[in-house]
Formats: sequence, structure tokens, C-alpha cells
Amino acid sequence: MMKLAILFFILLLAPVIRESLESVMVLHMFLQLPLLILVGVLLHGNRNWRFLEKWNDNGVAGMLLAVGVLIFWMLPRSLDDALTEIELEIWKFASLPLLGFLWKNSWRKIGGIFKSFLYINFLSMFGLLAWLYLGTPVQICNNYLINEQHIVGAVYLSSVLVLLLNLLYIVFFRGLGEEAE
Amino acid sequence: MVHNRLIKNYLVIGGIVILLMMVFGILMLLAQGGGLSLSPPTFYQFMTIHGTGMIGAAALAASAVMWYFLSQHVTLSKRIFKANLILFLIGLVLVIIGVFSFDYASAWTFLYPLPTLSAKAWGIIGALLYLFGMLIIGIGFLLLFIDTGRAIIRKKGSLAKGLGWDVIAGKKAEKDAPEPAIIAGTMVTIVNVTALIAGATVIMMNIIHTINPAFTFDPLLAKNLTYAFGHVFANSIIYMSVIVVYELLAKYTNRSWKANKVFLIAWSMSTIFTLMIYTHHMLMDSVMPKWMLIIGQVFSYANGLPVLIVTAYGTLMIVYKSGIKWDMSSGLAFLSMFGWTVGVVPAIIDATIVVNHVMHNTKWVPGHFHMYMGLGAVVMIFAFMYYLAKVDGGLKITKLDWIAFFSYIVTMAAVSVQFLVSGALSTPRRWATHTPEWMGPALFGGIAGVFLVIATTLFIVHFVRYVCNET
Ligand code: HEM
Ligand SMILES: [Cu+2]
Repeated sequence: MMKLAILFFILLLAPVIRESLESVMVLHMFLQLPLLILVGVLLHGNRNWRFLEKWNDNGVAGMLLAVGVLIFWMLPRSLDDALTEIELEIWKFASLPLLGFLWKNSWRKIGGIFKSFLYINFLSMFGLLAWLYLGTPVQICNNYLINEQHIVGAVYLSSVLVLLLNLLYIVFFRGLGEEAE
Repeated sequence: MVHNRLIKNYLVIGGIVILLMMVFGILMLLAQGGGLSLSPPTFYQFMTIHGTGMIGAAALAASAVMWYFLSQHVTLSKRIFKANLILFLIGLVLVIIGVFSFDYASAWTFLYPLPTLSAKAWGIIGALLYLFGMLIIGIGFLLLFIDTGRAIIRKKGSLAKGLGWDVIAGKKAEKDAPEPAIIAGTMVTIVNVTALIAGATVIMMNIIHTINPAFTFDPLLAKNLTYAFGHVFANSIIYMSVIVVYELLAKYTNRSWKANKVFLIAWSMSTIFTLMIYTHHMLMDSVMPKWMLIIGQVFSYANGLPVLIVTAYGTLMIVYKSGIKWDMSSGLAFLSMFGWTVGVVPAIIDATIVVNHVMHNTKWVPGHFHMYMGLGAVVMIFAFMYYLAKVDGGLKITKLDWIAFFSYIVTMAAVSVQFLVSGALSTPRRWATHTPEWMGPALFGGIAGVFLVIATTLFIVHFVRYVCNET
């Protein structure tokens, strides 16, 4: 797992891959970012990570931190600036794996209500972002054109639909399943 | 009894806020009636705080009714219940500061782009305080309904089963149908989580637009989301409070209120209708797809009816020849069913597109919802207060309570009818200033309102006496 994570990370860092992923807005947002998060998740693996046990016992602290990082990278501004400012780019490559790591560590520890709350929040925040990217007449980013914005908006909208259908499936058919304590 | 301390806090806070908001209502009517001079900005601040406070406080108290009875059947989290109360208070304080210190006055519907573009009537700070206040209140309620939803799913398997769809489908016997508290709880969970998702999106959108007006959004979608939130959330109040009618009458008559298939179908229908009919707020938006408006019209006729009919019928049946002893709480419960029934009639009339073209935005509209809120939903909350005071505290009723009971009926009816009369006279709603021919009903309503406040105070005093006795 850990080796895989490191391999992944190196691949993502490779200039060709990095530059081609970042040249297209939708790949930047919906491929590079998730893959960097995945690196953190893989790195964490199924190990227990003793040093986290003390301060992330119930998962709340870790999750809040992870969500904070996520919100930062959901701001259109952050991605845009990462293209021009090297400090931000470094921070991106450091913070997103960290996010994945913390997420993986915290998710099984936090309570069900917190999980549902996060899920529902993503639903409405993705909806908001879809609305923003699809609807606003201004070009939000310096580095990406307005039609790229629309593609990103469409992807957000599709994720909302998927999240919604999945939610309906869970609450009306599947139930909480093994997740219920 | 179950977590009584918190239930009492909810009701005392809810009751007192309702009482205070009534005072703002009276001030508005007196101003419209020419008996008091209020500057228009002040009027709109009052209108904003009245609408927000009433809906918020009634929803808060109603959620306590629901929580109390639902928690007898499923396991709810006390911590979440407490968190909701705390978030409500924080949000309320922000809203109050926004309205009174920073002149925010968009009405509780905060319709985009009004929060930002107020022609300098208020500034960014007022708008942000109000919007963040609403967001925080919404987060509290979202947590609460996530908890109820999860608890129901844990107990029943799914929300579908919470609504008894397996019984409707014949897979399960009618005698194993979910309890009314669970059915209502499921319905409210479904509609309110939906409403709060829409609300969070549109509030965040307004916040973005307030901070940076260069980001503009589609106003039609904004209006849809706003009413999908506001209409549904306000509507849910009565579906939470009505649980007291089921439980109280069952207890008082020593009969059980069992859900049968018709009852289940009615609740499922009202669940779906409630989600669809917010479009009746869009009847004047000619750019809306026609089919949506037709849905808005057709289902507004039918919206509350299924639940109303099975509940009203059930109420008569359970009371009939039961030898029930009438006291304040059963009297209030009975009154609330009457008020609800009468209160939907003007709504049904108004939801007709032809009529709506005339009555839209006249005081007919507040006429309808003051009647069904004031004589229906809020009365259920008072019924619950008397129920707790009696069942849990053994508190005796005095003559004064009965006087309050009858004065409440007369004066609340007067306040509602006054709005309807104004509407019939084509008085526009939400106008700070009235022409002389519109003033009569408003002035009358303002004076009736004073007695209404006295009656309500007596209700609350009774409850507070119980709360103080107990500890
Ligand atoms: C003493 C009792 C009350 C009085 C005198 C009163 C008075 C008023 C007045 C004058 C308005 C503005 C009407 C207009 O559009 O011109 C209003 C609006 C409103 N009232 Fe009341 N009210 C009372 C009780 C209630 C109750 C019990 C509720 C709900 C639980 C309620 C909820 C509302 C709402 C939601 C609005 C709409 C505000 C808006 O248009 O944005 N009121 N009320
Ligand atoms: Cu409505």
C-alpha cells in the first residue's frame, strides 16, 4: 500500500503528468486533486498509526482539519493561484495527501450523525458550486477560460445527482446497513 | 419522563419568542391602521423579525413536541437535541443584531438579490449577520432531522418503512403499522432535510453575492430554492405539532390511535405534495414552465388535505362516545383541528391561478396563514404545554386559563379575519403605509391583538408555573 502511494505520488509529481493535468481545469479539479487525496488514503492503509490515537481518538479533530483543507481547495481562487505561485503548488502537493490521510484515519471513528451531516453538506455545497460555475457571467479564474468553467460546473452537477440518488437509495431501500452502530 | 429539562427549555423559549413576536405584529397592524407612527424602515425591520421569529420559534417548539413523542419509540440523541437549541439561540442573536443594529429588513424570505441590493437601506454587515444567523439555525435543525432520520431507519429499516409503505403494499399486517409519531416524524424528516439542503445552498449563494456582487446568479432558480426552503419549512411546523393531537387524544380517551392503510396513504401523499407545491409562490412568474405551475395549483388544493382529513376524521371518531373529560389541553387540541380545517379554505381559494392573479400579494395571504398557524399549529403547541403541565406536573387549571382559552379563540380569529377582509378589499400585503380606506381592519386587528397577547401570556404563565414547580 505504502509503496503504491509513493509511486503514485512520484507519478503525479512528474512534470509531464503534472503539467498536462493542470492545463485543463476539469482534470485539475476532478483528477489531480482526487488522486492526490488518494495518495494520502493509500499511505494510511489499514494501519493504526499510534501517534494519531492520542489526539484523534474520536476522529473529530482529524475530520475537521481535513474538511478545512478541502474547503480551501474548493475555493476557485486557490487552484488558480496554485498555477502561478510555487509556494501554493507545494502546499497543494503536501496538504491534499495529508487530507486523504486524515480522512481515512477519521472516517471510521466519527459518529454516524457527523457522517450524514458531511454527506448532506457536500450535496448542497456541490450544488452551489455547480450553480456558480454554470451560471455566473464572470470568468472566475485567470488561467482557465469561461467554457472550461462550464465543464467543471457540469461535473459538479452530475456529482450532485449521483450523491442524491445514492442518498435516496440508502434512506428508502438499503437502510444504514453495517454502518449502523 | 424523557429528558424533560430540555423539552421545557424548548417550550419556554419558543413560547416567549412567539409572545414577543406578537407584540411586533400588533405594532405593525397599529401602524398600518394609522394608530401609530412607524417609519417604513422600522416597519420592515419589525416585519422581518416577526416573520423570522415566528417561524423559527414555532418550528423550535414544534420540534420539541415531535422529539418528546418520537423519543418514546426510537432512540434519539440528547446531545443533538441540545446542540440544536444552542445553535438556534446563537442564530437568533445574530438575526436580531442584523435587524435591529444594522437595519436589515428583507423580510424573512430574503429573496435574492434583495439581501445585497437594498438601495443602501442596509449594509453588508446587516445582511451577513442575518444570513449567517439563518445558516446557523438551519444547521441546528439539519442535525436534529438527521438524527431523527437515522433513528427511524435504525428502528424500522428505512424511511419507506417509517411511512409504512410495506403495510400499504400488503407485505405487513395493518396492526404492525408504525406508530403515528413515527409516521409524522418520517414525513417531517424527509421534507425538512430537503428544505434545508435547498436553504443552505441559497443562503450560501446570497452570502457569496453579498461579499462579491460581481458573482451574479439566476434569480429564478434562486426564487425556486428560496421557497422550496421557506414554504416547506414553515409547513412542517403543523406536521410536527399534530403529533400531540394523536397522543393526547389516545391517552385521554383510553383508546389507541392506530394507523391504518388510509392513514398511511394520507401521510405519504402529504409528504409528496408538500415537496411539490412551493411552486404556488411562482404563479406570477410567467417564465416558469407551465407544467410546474399547474402542479403548484393542483397540489396546493390537495396539499394538507389528506393528513387533515384523516386527522380530523380520526379526532371525531376517537372522541365520539369516549366519555372524554374536556380540559385545557384536550380543548386546545380539538380547537387546533378546527382552526387547521378552517384555515386551509382561504389557501385553497388563493391557490387557484385565476383567483391568484387578483389575490396574489394581498393581505388575503397572511389571512390564510395566520389562521392556520395561529388557530392551528401554535394552538397544538399550547395544547402540548398544558398536557405536560398536567400529565407530568399535575398542575391544576384555573378559571383564568379558561378565560384565556376563549379570549384566544375570539381574538386570534379576529386577527386572522381582519387580514382576510383587508385582502378582499385588495389591500396589498407588506405595505408599511395604508391608504385611509384600508386602515379600518388593520386598526381593529391591532386592538384585538392586545387581548390576544394577554391570553397567550396566561398560557405561558401556566406553563412556567409548572416548570418552576418541578425543579
Ligand atoms: C398577535 C398575533 C399576530 C399579529 C397581530 C400578527 C401581525 C402580522 C402582520 C401585521 C404582518 C404583516 C402583514 C403584511 O404583510 O402587511 C404579519 C406577517 C407575518 N406573520 Fe404575523 N401576526 C401575529 C401572529 C403570527 C403567528 C402566530 C405567526 C406564525 C407562527 C405569524 C407569522 C407571520 C409571518 C410568517 C408573516 C409574514 C412576514 C412577511 O411577509 O415576510 N404571525 N403578521
Ligand atoms: Cu407556500
